[in-house]
Amino acid sequence: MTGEAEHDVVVVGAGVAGSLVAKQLTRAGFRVLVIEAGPATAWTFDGYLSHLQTFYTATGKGPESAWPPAAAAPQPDTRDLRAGDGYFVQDGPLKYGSTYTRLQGGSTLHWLGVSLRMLPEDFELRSRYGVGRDWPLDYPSLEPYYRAAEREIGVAADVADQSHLGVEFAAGYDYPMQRIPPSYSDTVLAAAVDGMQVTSGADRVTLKVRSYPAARNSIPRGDYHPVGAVDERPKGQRLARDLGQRCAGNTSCTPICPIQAKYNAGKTLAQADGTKLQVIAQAVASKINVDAVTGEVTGVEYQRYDDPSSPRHTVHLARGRAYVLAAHAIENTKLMLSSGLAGASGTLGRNLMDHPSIYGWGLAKAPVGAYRGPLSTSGIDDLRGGAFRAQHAAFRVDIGNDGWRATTGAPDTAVADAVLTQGLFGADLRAHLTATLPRHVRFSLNVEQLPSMTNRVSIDPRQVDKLGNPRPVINYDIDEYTLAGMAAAKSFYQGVFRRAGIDDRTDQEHAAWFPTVTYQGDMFRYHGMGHFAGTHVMGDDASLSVVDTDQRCWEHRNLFLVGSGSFPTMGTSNPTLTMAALALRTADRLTAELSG
Amino acid sequence: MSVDRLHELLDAAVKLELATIPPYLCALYSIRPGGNEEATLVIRSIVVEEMLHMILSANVLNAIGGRPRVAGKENAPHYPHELPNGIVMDLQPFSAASVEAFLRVENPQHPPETSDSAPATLMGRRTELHRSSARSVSAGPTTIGAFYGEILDELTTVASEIGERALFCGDPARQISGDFYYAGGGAPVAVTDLASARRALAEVVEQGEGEMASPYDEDGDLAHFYRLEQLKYDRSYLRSDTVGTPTGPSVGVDFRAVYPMIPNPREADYADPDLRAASATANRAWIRLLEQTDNAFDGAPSNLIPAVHTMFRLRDAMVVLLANPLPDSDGHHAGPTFEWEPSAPVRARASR
Amino acid sequence: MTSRREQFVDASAELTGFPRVQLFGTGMSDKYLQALDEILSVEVVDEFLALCTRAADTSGNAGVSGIVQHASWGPIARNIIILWYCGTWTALPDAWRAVHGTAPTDLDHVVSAEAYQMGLQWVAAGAHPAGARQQGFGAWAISPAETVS
Repeated sequence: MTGEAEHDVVVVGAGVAGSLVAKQLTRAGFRVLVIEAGPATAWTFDGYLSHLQTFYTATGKGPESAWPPAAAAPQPDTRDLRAGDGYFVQDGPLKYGSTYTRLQGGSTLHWLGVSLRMLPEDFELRSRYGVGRDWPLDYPSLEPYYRAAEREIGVAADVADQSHLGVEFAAGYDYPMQRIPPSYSDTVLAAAVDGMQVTSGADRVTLKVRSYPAARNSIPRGDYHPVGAVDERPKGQRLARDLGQRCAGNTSCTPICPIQAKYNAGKTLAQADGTKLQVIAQAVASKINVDAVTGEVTGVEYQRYDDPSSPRHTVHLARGRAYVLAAHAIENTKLMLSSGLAGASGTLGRNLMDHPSIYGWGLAKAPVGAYRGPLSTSGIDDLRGGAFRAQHAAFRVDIGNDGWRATTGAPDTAVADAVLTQGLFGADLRAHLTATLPRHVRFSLNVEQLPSMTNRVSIDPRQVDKLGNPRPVINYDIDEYTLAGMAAAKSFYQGVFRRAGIDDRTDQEHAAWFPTVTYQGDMFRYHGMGHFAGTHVMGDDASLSVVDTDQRCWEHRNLFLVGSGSFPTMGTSNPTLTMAALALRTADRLTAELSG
Repeated sequence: MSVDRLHELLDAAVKLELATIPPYLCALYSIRPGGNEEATLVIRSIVVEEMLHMILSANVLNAIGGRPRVAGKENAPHYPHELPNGIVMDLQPFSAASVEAFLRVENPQHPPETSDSAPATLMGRRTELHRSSARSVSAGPTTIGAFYGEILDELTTVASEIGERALFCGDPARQISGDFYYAGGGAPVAVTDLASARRALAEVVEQGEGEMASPYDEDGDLAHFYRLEQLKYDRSYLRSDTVGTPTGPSVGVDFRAVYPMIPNPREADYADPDLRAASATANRAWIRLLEQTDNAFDGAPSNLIPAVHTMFRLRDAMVVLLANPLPDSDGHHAGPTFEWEPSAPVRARASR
Repeated sequence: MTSRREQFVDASAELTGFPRVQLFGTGMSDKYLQALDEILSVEVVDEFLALCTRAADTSGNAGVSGIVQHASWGPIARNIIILWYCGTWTALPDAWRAVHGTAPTDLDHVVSAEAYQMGLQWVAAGAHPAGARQQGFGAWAISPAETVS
């Protein structure tokens, strides 16, 4: 083991949370070391282009298809779900469907970019509806950090569209960029659906197709300058920074935006103060060392590898005054557990949540121009909140622009079906495809999951990866509350399809494989959204939580666990914006403390 | 010295910038996919910047009450096209000759040429030479840099003669801002007075060749002129290199991995009706692009958004032509002709 | 005398419903012919192309239809269609392989990054390949009817 030079702060993980903390702290004058498990290939644009080439030649175009991991830092992959033999040890009873990426940039490399704030009621589920937990923070206290996160990430939206379900904005505020133009397909759907009323419990809810706040470059407001592609080549050869200044509709946000018009954490890291920042990529944090008397962290051991295809490595020690784990809800937990730091509360690793989601897809009456634009530009938010949450889970609807790509593998599978099954060729084939592909519509309905102590990630010394580090062992189930939410979501989209004259073509038997769960005789195929939460829960009672409202670990006062692992509940929004807001809040706390 | 003269000069400036774009597009899209990544990035970046230059000149012209015109046969560029300093711009594929032409264009201090040194094969494809209107209005053969210098001098003189407010009488709503156009270097300058006009025109000249001993500027970036030199020599500039002698590793130039477009093609030379239809498709997209740009310059800046989409449709149509072998042409391929000949009535579309 | 490449593009035009200029316009004609030669052998490809030429010359669309439905030539014809539309090669059916043999390259795969980007399925859809050939900011708001040229 080699002792390394001291830094003020050691950050484990160069995803969005770690990068935001590193940027703020270096800019405040502190020396920060970032340890990143995976390679930093996306740091230069030619490195990024190699990922694009990987995507083009991949036979499956799922979220991980552009981002193969290093041997030393394996990651979960949706392609492993069916056989159940991937990085996760899927201990059941149900398969946990979400994945993440262990590369510099993390999951922001392939996320969709949805940047919704949580609703005020999402922070108060227990008080309001008698389910789940309350957060120790409320929406008003996080609001300034939401604004800061929206500017840091670069979010495009109009406040006028977003002030509903109790969400309030500071007076005079609007998002850094104008909303992404809704797609033609969105406007056709809105013409049919806006004003439609549905019953939810005892309430009548009026629907509206609504733009969502997106981390995608659009027309800027005020003095905001959209941040384009990251191209940190040495020696002034940076060229690609004028790429990605506006979304150009590449329709592949997941898994990769070819021009980086979509936010990825590399953009934040590139804005850190380079004179105060050191990044060591290809370095897997493997153990946290703690002083037996004080409980203070004294160092983080990491395994540094040179060749991403080999597990050969050397071991080093990183030391600082404070330590921030930003390696992901699962990896943070895994590192704590394998360092023997489970803590007394018994909550570390538990309350693992996802947004188990269902698809519905169909054929619109007339061409709507499918397969164009960002993967989606609008959604339906109206069932994200309300009194019904005392009975069943809330859900959010994402309205796809990408046709049946995610559900059936179209257009390729549509071509294969037309040619191989229907025997079409020539002008007939072309006419058939031209008449049908532009009419493809799909919804993704993301259902909230409540915290449960039996949904958890743990480690088992018999289950290790090539470096001898533990593989995450997942116990996962979906309870009645969420299943009832799924059933409500299914009935919801069927009603919307009927109203809009969309011919429902949802056919689970002849679509991409997803894990299944049965509820009241109905079989649901569910997919993960890449939304993890709960594993190092935040609270104001040390006996019931892992971290406090600053994401500081109760039992190790110079250790912070940042990320969506801190969330007591998830609501129905992508955790990224809330996670970013919390990370900025933690960075403020650290800045004050290290200065004082 | 008069406002009319200024309108003439600035109109010529807009057309000059516009005229450089089709040759860059031909070079860019003639590159076969899968190679020449550096050249692709460089040329794309230059195209984005030439459009910015055109918009900056249009902003100055609009600011003094003029009307920039790019649509219509009399306003659209025709090829081969002679610029004010004698440089001839051809429609040709990515090649050593095209990189030479671009270097001459990007170097605003380049002296006026008395004779052109293009290869014989290219000379053979110059059946008709079109002169830039910038060449017609300037006092004599001039460098591009001097041409813009002349405009700036005229602006200053006329402003002092009739007053700045009287000169800059244009409607500010006609200015194109960063809302509707964006480039690596930033947003277009909205022009309302002499100071902003100066800034706008300085942007146009400054983004060409740098003037230092080292090719790197103080931000550590390379100007386009030096990036083109890297393509010419197929070597990158190291930090320690001096201007004109890059000694770093190859930047991956491969002039063979290019569609062998016939230089300065004409739609009339395409015998195959399907090829002619493909050419007409490209020209319709080009015409639409010019009309949308013209509308943007005429008080409806938001037209630049659909114009960007039209540019990509032009790209798709160009690629179809460039990939098609042209029969009886010694192994050449077809290419876009950039001719203003609408082959179907063009409906005016309301802007969003 | 029609070149082999021309023969291939002529046959492909019949099979795909796209005219020759559009097929050449993908820039993939040589690469696809090469892929076929590698997977099927030059002799088999020659025979197939000769068959297509004869069929088109003598009985037009009905002739080509006969090839598409033929037990031996049909799977090849259909794979060529998918090649042009998707840029991918589909492993030939087991029944076909039992009769004609298996080549090591006869696996499901994307022929190349360029083949993916030049697939005609996206042109048929009035769209663009996901992750490439972007349409520009705001293009997705324009009605599909207006964007077809």
